Amino acid sequence: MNGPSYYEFYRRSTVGTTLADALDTLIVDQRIQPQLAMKILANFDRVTSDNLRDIVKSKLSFKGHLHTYRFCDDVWTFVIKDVNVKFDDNETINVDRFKIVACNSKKSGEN
Amino acid sequence: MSNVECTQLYERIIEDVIQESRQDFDDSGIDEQTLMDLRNTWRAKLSKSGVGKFTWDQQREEEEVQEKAAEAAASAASAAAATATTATTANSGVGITQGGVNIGAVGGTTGTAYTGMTTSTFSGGATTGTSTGYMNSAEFGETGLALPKSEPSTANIILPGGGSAQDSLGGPLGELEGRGPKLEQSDGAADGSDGLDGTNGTSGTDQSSGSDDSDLGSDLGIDSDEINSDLDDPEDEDDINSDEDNDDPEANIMLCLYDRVQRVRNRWKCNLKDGIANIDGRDYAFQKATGDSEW
Repeated sequence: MNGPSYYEFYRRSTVGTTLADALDTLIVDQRIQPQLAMKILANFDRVTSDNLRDIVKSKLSFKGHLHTYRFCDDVWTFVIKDVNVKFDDNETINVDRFKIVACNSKKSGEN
Repeated sequence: MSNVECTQLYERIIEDVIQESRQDFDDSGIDEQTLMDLRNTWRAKLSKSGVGKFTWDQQREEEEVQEKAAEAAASAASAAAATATTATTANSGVGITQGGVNIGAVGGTTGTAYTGMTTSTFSGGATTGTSTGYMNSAEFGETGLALPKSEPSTANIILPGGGSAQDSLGGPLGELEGRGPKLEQSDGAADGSDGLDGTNGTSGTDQSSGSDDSDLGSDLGIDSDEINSDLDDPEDEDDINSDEDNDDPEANIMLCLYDRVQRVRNRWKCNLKDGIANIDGRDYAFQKATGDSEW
């Protein structure tokens, strides 16, 4: 793959961790090699980034108390407490504590 | 809605990844069946996580309903041959292989009963799986909050004053060792690199370790890297975890891209996009998000 590289951090999402689990099962059972699993995860990075950009249309907003902020290696990390999340269908959720990991959108695709 | 859109996104991701991985599987000489198994395991694990309702779940439920209807019809029809069927259903309840053998012998009516049994046990397994998952995270949260607050924080006060306070470390470390591995595992990135982050500043770490909670460790890292630096790390991590990661690190987390982060005095505003968020055990996807918070 010589094209643009993709962020790997979406692997931490539920869909990513479950894929890693499933691949792990296949590796443990010696049905696939770890090298193949790495390729699949790279496919996952690309597919997830592209689909998030192309098919998702929802919006949300949140308010809360910023407990921790950090900017390191071009990645913002926020820990927000007493968060009120509002979705675009006016549904709201209150969460005690919430963590955000955000990579730079400008560099997306060239990592 | 954001949650529905997220399940649609996940389904699309699975289909696309499987599709695009077909060539890679082929190149490695792995057969199609393994690829299909990967997809099915992936789907099952995702259903088990309980982050949303997927179409394959609905399909399975519909199949279950149909099977039950068929089962009821079959049992009514086979009332004449009652003795034979009751014997086989009892067997399939005890052991699956036994049930399988009997189905071959008796025929169609018991076949539906048998599949009905397996699907119902499967869905039962799924629900217990999620409930234990919640239990674990709840437990985690409590221990993460309560214990490190009292134990390691006192050790931290001793350390800088005492200089080479190896002995004073011994107590808390010993107690922490039991819980150490759990937290390391859930954190993902190696704890060794966390220690380096704290002392040497950041040098070319990837996103995942960059997002780890290593900054606060620098206060301790300066003092403690001389003596048993690798032993001190779990403590550092623990301390930070008590502050921030007091439960499952992937719970209540939002993974996204930022367009802009602005601060005016203590007021932070951020424009985010292309995100996946886990909130209270459910997953949400969004194209855009705005955040407003006061520090």
